[in-house]
Amino acid sequence: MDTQHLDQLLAKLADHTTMWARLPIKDKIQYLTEVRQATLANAQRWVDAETKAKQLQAGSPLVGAEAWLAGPYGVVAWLSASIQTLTDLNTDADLLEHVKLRRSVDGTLVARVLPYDVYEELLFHGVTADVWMQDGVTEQNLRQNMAGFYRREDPEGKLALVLGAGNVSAIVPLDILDRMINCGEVVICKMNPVNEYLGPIFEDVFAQLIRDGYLAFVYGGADVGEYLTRHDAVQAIHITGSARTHDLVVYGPGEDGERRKAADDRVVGKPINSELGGVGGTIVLPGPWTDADFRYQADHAVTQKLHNSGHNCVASQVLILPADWDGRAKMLQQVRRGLDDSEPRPAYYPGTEQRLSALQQAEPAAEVLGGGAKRVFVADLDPGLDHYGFRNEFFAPAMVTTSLPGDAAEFLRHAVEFCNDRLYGTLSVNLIVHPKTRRELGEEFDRAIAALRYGGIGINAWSAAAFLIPRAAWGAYPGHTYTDVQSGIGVVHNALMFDKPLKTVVSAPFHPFPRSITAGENTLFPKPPWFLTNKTSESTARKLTEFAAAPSAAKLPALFASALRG
Amino acid sequence: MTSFDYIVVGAGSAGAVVAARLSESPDNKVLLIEAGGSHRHMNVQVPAAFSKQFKTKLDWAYFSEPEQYLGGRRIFMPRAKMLGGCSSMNAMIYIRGNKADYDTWAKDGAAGWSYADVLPLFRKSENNSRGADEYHGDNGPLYVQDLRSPNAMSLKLVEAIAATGLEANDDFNGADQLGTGLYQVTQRRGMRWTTADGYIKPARKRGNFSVLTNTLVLRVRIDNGAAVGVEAERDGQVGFIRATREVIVSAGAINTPQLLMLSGVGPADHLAEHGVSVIVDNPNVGDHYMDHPMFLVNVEATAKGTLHEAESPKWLLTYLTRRTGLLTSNIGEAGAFFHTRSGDAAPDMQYICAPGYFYDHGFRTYPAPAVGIGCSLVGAQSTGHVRLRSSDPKDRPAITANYLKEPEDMQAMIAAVERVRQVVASEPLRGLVGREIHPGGDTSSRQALDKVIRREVEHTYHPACTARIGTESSGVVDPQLRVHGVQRLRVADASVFPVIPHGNTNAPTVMVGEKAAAMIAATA
Repeated sequence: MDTQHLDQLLAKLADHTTMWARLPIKDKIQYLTEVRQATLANAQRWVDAETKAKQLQAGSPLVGAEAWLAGPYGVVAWLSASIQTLTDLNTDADLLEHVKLRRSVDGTLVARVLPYDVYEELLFHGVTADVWMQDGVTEQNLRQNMAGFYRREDPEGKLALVLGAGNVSAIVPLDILDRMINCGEVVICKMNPVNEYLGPIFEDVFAQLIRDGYLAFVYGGADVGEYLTRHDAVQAIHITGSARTHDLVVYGPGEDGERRKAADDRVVGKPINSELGGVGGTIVLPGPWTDADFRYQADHAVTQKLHNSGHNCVASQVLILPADWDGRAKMLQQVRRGLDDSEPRPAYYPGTEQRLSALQQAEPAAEVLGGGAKRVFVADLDPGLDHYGFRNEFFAPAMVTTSLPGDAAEFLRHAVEFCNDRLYGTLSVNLIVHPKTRRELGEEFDRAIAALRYGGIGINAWSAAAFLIPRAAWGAYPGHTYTDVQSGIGVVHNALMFDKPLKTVVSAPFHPFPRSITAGENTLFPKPPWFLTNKTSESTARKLTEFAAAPSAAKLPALFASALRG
Repeated sequence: MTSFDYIVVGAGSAGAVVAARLSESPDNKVLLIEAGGSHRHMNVQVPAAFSKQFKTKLDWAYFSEPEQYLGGRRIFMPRAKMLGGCSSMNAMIYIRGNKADYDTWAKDGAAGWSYADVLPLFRKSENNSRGADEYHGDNGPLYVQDLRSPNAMSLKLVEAIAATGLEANDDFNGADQLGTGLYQVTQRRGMRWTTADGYIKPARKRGNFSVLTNTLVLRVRIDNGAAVGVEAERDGQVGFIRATREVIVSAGAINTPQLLMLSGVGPADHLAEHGVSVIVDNPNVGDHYMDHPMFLVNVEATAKGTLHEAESPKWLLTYLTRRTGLLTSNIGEAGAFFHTRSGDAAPDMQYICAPGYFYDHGFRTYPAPAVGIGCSLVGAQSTGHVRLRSSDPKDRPAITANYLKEPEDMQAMIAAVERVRQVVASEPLRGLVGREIHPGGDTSSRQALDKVIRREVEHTYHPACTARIGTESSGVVDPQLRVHGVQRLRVADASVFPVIPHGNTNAPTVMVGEKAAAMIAATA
């Protein structure tokens, strides 16, 4: 480890903290514009590198679903949204001009952040995203609870360390941008060995910020990470990864670390934000489903598991079915089919095989599906027991199911309680609900959403959408502590810069277009491009990326043509 | 292989002039190369639309490096990329600078550049609508006219500035520069008039004059100490074009030093750092960068008829049918030259007054009528430099202006802003103006003004002096504009100013073009 090099880099960055913090907004907009330009210029290279690293087959829908959407698209969409916010701040425009506010059934203030404009209305027809605010935030004081950094007079600024792990390639750039733009901090980013192949691409994407002394990338193993986390020049840390990594950083390794954790005696005293995953659940509500619905929703559930081959913090791991629903067996059968049929791919992420074996040892009833591609499936776990799969994030292609009793309303209450109390973490949860069931449940359904203690909630949508929707807040539900960190502390993305978000709720139509029309939902949203079975996802995701960089009506026909053929 | 007697690089305020004048002799086969394309565009022709060209394909759209004395801001520097260069993009203000500028140049070694030497060249280029006199010409290619529809608010601003103790001056380019008045502009019949219109268009009728547009010169080829031609790229094809007599670089104060450095003429260590073979080690290339920092005070106006209404259909129609009205405004219609301090030979401060809101290069809008008064520090002392970012000719150069580095510059700027406040409070503007928008009423202390000026200051788009006239140890070119150490290579544009003149730089740059052509003709 070249500590002299690290010291020099840190000294140079530390020299620029105040300058960056006080740099006029106009200049920050210019930097973001340049980052966006460079992202577009490097997008294909980025996608190609990721396709290779994840051993995807060329032409596979996964290239669109994983590499494009959760890579360049996510970054470009965020940059455009952030540039809009900064422009509004710079011209004293109302940040909430395009945001509808309402109160939820439990009185929480809710801001609709998608659709934000007419383009989003068209592109994501029938999809909505709401950011719920913490207690005490009202219609009257929301504006005073936004863009807190930009309301400070003469901020000193800070140097933040971003520990960029994670398997979704947009995470590292978005974490950097969150610290730099939303928090006003200069950043040193240490790439994790798992994704360091993206480092040179990111260095080109952020070239101007690096050149001007506001950002640096470094590489190396745990020793470099430890050196940086404990360095005096580093004033704040953002971690993406596991709770284990978090505890290692905060309390140190081994027995000493455990002792320190028990006493909350931190070796690193600086503020640490984190996004650490968890055990994601998908609650399936009973309803009058057709065969097409079973097939589509099972594909959706499998997508939520097998995207990135299961190596996602936001993967759905526990399928929660209504015990008394006559569709239960059919859903299980369709999920098995989906796991079996999905495109085979190597388990490229380190440690996957060990994690799968640990599950198999814990659950002797585990089935292995997927032919050559090992996918572990355990059906019908007892909801009353503390199963391994309820407490441990697999981060691997593995899924379990459980069932809870009652009619739709009763089942939903049980399911909310089960997710809140029995599943580890608070990052994300999903619900699959037929429009008729939702209508019948009425306010009962809204109460369930209000009661779910999760940072990201997806209704007929994968909660991962909250990761990609730039104005949504992404992170754990508030309340975790260093000693019991679970899904982490703090949020990222959040391009509207809400200072006190509680959670994000994304909702989409149950039926994809065109079945949505015949089924009476009247929405135009087709099979989403993140579906593993979407045939045109690569072209759709590329066109979406270009559109997000510079929206124009002229680009819409080709985008729709691609999306609707998926 | 294609070959010409003279190759001029850059069809701007000087290059168009040099090339067109050289082509007046039928013996000269002249090629003018321009990186951009045509200047035929509504936002070029319509005077009031000039700032709408910024950050479009008509603009190189440079940014400075983080400016040390401005809190790390990177300053936007539009530079025209089209025929006519910045004469197609500027605010059309025709100002020559001060007599003392040229006499100082000559005194400090630029032989042949005294006011008496250059006045005939100003007159030669000029076609002034007021007719000829001892200062002005009426037979040149460059139309200089009074504004067709000067704004009532501009006249009031002149009255108000006069009320603070300045004499009225109806010709800043005449006997004396000091005072306040309306500017004359490079327009003809209410439309912008460029060096492309005045010089290139008539030259194109000659068989010995060629123009290559959309062609980027990558480097000047220097063999055995002499320029022999240029390597240029067009439509992805790179070719060499031979110059049998001379290459004249007129790419402007940013691109000219960049091209010299790419060609091996510049600071040796810097060139080596970027892998460029050094032909002439001259640390002055790209150095001594000067410009006029400008801070704009904007004040709400209650009067009708300001530029706030300029984009209404009524004024478009008026412009299209009669070439009059608000759209013929050059924005900076009125102004003044005055001293904020003692000891300068020329006034160190210029006001450029707009009968409308103007801020952040015109990118910002304001929902109400306003007036903008730009404080352009024409006596600025701070100097910066232009360097390479890489040896790739398509990579933009690294520009450091060092605006407001010198404490005197800030003092002058503060004094100018304080005087604007007197102007606004004076009798002629009573009842016509309201609240101060920028810098805003809460910035009364000098400390607060210092802070806001560093945060918001821009410039007057006058980069200069980066290949200045001087000796081999102090400059890049000799008084004949020949590059030291290289035969058959000259520079003719604002880069060669030994020191930036006290005023807008388009007219002096046209003059440099005239003088370069005359000197080349005399030695041929």
